[in-house]
Amino acid sequence: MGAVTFDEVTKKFGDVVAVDRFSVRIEDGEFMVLLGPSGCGKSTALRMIAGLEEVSGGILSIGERVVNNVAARDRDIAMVFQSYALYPHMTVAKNIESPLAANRKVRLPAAERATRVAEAAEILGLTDYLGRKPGELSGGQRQRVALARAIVRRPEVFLMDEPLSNLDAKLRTQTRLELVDLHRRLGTTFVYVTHDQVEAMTMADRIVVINEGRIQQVGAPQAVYESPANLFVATFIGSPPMNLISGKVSASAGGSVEVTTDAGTVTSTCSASLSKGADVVVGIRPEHLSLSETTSSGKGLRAKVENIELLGHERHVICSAAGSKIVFRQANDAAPVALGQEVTLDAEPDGTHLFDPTSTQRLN
Amino acid sequence: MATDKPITNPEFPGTDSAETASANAGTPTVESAQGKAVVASDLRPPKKSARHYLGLTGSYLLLTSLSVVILFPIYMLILRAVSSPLAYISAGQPLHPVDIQWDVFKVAFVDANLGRAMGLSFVVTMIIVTAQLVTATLAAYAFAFLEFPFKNVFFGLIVGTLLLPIEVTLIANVETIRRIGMLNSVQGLTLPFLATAVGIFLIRQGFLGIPSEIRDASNLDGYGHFRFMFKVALPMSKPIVGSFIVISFLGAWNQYVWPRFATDRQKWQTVQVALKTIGSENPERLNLSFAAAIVAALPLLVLLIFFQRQIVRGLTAGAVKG
Repeated sequence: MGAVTFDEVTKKFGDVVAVDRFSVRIEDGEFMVLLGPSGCGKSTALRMIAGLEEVSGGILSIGERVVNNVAARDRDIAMVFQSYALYPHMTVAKNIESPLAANRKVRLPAAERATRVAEAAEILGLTDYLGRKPGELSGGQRQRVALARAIVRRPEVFLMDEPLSNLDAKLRTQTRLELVDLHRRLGTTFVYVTHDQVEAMTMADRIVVINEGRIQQVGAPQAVYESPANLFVATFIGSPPMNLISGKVSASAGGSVEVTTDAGTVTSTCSASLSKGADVVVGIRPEHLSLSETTSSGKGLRAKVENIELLGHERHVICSAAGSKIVFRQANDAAPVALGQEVTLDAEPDGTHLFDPTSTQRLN
Repeated sequence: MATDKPITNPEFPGTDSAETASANAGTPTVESAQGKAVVASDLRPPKKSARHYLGLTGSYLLLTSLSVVILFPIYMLILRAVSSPLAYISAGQPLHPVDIQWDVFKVAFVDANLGRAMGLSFVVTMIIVTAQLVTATLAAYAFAFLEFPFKNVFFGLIVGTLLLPIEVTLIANVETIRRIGMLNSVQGLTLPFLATAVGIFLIRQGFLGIPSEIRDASNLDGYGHFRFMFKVALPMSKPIVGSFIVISFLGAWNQYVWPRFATDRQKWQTVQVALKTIGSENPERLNLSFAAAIVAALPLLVLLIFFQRQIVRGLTAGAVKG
């Protein structure tokens, strides 16, 4: 079975810890995305699954087999690289056949290899291109050859290292859908590395958010978006990012917490009881803020409109509120605000997140 | 993209059209054809100005005169080879042949023993080129792809041997060859040249140019060291290997000093030594020396024509992003 299990897996390059005690189980057949900024250790984690990097500590298993000391070629995995890594001197057919023919000891009979190559080419629409060299193909076609080379060996796990980043925006959107479709048809485990949150949100069954070598949160895309585990996840996922304002707890009772900030007071749904006067960071996504109808209630955040971005279907209004920048979304048919206008913003209590300023962890 | 056949796979509708569209974007012809705002004369190549033709004439003049500079000595070589030496000198050494004798090539090849010397040189050169190719490829592979202690030190030492001219090692090598009884033998002529730092350095550079992701991919595909070397690394380094073969061949074929010292019988003369002998044994027949030089250079000419593309690509490899 193609489950991948990290158990306290660590990778060190000299004194630098690239991957720090990873523990996560990627289920068989799951589309798991490793998401994080450049240099966070996500590619290193992927390369450890592939066997291209040695594991410095902990136990890494594929299926029920511990693979810490298993050679890359014996792991029953296939990988798609960012640059596609096609052999430039071989035809498309030879490139696709390569994993089946490379190792003479375990080589399949020629007829079987030809059938498999034809099948993989058919799945990815490459049948007409089998006689060409990679240099004669477009970026998107090369990308599909790389995918065909991966699926031809029918591995237990597919590994993909930012496979879409060399494609132009239009092709990227399209290939995203193709990959999701491919995953559905093959039903194999996919482990996909990206720094692009859109790719993560649109394709993943679950996301592992990584920063500075550590797992920050594991969960379904919507869950990660709706209840980020800490300040890093809160700001990394979502565009425009979540608004953050510092404040103090002014009341805490009956499943809700009132926080007073320099810009005003907000209420958050919070089952935990927080001590009065405690420092918190309030996080509110732009879509959970709206212009207040009643200005007299004394609640809400007072802000001044500084800039307006028009996106056609909606507007992003950028305001300053007691030294913090606050962005909120407005539908394009809502009454427009003017630059310099003083506004009061209401926050939805369910969309108001509270974080501990020292540990950065989520409080509610 | 223009020659691409459309993908008919129903699994990915629109796949090819999107790529074609993106490939066509930016080509002005599409838009202008639809707009029908193009006057037919606009489609003709623009009229060349007088300045353009002046520039063209200038560059042709320059290239022609450079060719003359390069080809003139070769012309003189052929001229003096076919002219009867005495008649040529008494005619005042003109720029045209005098009293042409075509059989001079045959005389040089057969009577002056050049044929035999060329045969021996060919054998020696083939052994040296093959051996250098094998040793350089294996060593380059180790230095490029394997990790072992003191790798950089060893590599530095090997490259350091490039700094030693043949004169430094000559006496010691001759003495060694003499002691093991290999004077006047093919072994003696080839042994000191079976490995070369130039080759190791060049081919290593070629191997280092292979992207690490290709190395990773072939690792996952299951290529072992030898199959990776033959199926991936060497084919991808073809231009560099090609130019190394030429360099190695030139070096081996043109060797003079070593064969001069490692042999002392006429039977074991290599081609360059034989050329020298022809000159000194026939001082009155200078045309024979010239003719022999031409014959001796023919294999190199064939080699250069054969490997021309590889050499240019090898020497400019890395200069232009592929």
